[in-house]
Amino acid sequence: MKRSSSGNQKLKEFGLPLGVLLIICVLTALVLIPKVKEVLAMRKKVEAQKVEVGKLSTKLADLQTLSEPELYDSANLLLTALPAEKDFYFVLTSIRRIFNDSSVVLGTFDFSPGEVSTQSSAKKTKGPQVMKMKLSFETTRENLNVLMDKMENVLPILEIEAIKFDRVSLATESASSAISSGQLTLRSFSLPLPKLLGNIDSPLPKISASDQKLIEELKSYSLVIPETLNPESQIVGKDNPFPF
Amino acid sequence: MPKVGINLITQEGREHLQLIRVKLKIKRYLTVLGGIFVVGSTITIALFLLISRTVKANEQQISSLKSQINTFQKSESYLITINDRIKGIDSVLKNRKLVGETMDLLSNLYVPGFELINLEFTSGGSIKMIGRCEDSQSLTNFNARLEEVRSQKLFSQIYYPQVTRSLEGKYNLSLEFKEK
Repeated sequence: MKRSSSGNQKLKEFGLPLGVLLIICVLTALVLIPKVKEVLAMRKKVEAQKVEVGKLSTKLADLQTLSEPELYDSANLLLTALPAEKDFYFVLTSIRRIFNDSSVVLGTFDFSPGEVSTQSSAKKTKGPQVMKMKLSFETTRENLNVLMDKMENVLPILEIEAIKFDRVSLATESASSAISSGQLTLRSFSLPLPKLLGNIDSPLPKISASDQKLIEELKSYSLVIPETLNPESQIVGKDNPFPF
Repeated sequence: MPKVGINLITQEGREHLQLIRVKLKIKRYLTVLGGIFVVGSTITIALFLLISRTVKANEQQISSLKSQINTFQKSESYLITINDRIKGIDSVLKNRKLVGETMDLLSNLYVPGFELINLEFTSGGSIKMIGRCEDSQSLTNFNARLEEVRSQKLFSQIYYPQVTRSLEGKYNLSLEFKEK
């Protein structure tokens, strides 16, 4: 009886410390250690947030220095120089205007528009898309030089690929007045717009000094006001019985 | 005479004493452990609260910056368009052949009796010319002019592959020039 009471006594005396030890171990394992891991993860998150704040602040500061009207004008100019879509009618009427302004007779023309589709279904090809056209002309050499000069300094951008002369009538006065007729092969260009025109997380593209120089160069090009092709008047109904 | 140790404490007493010593040790270790646990927990909780506040503040700042950037959406889209167009235009203008200048250079070859038939600008950067001379005098003059153009180094390369004579007595020429 004496032994059992001393055993109980020992249990009572050691039970409390063991219990406290157990509680400390359980709390450490279940609460403290996960919390420490969470704190370490949050520290990494804070570092990442600092980087993001830096990037966004820089982007905002850059955007605040830009002038929207100037950007609109530049974007417009560049879209005129290199349109987003193939518009062969616009190109044709522009070329007619250039021919008329240069006193060159435009005979026949042959267009190869290629793939003409809406932007959403258009394939994204690398680089500008080309549209070729063959035009027959008749003019003096002097006017031909004027025409070529205009073609190379006009918006939208055109490129003369080849000139083929059918005949040259040699004028008695000078070579510059000799009448030439032949075929001109021209190339016009287009480039679809990029799919994404802005993303908050993407950095802002920069316009370098050479880019600015190109924009200034394009401002010196002439903008062609296309010729409107007058629709033929159609007579409908009966003839006017009172013509006078 | 050797000393004889006399222990007046009974066996029971010794056991009791041992027990007390163990109890004290355990108490001491537990106190230290408990102290470390409390301090560690306090620091952890304090850090947790502080970093949570920082994370929330950063999230608010990021959200505010993003909404401010959104107000400049148009400017950003114009800028991206400009950047995209410039790349395309640059590639077009770099590869574009300026015919006017070339025609001016080639006009140095025009002599009386010479007729330009065909002028083609290839993608390789060379110019193919087909012409015709009315007679031998015109051909001689043309060749002399060609020699002058060659000596002036207006072109990096001149290739003269063919001269043929037709039944009418005219001379058909084909030349290839490479621009500088």
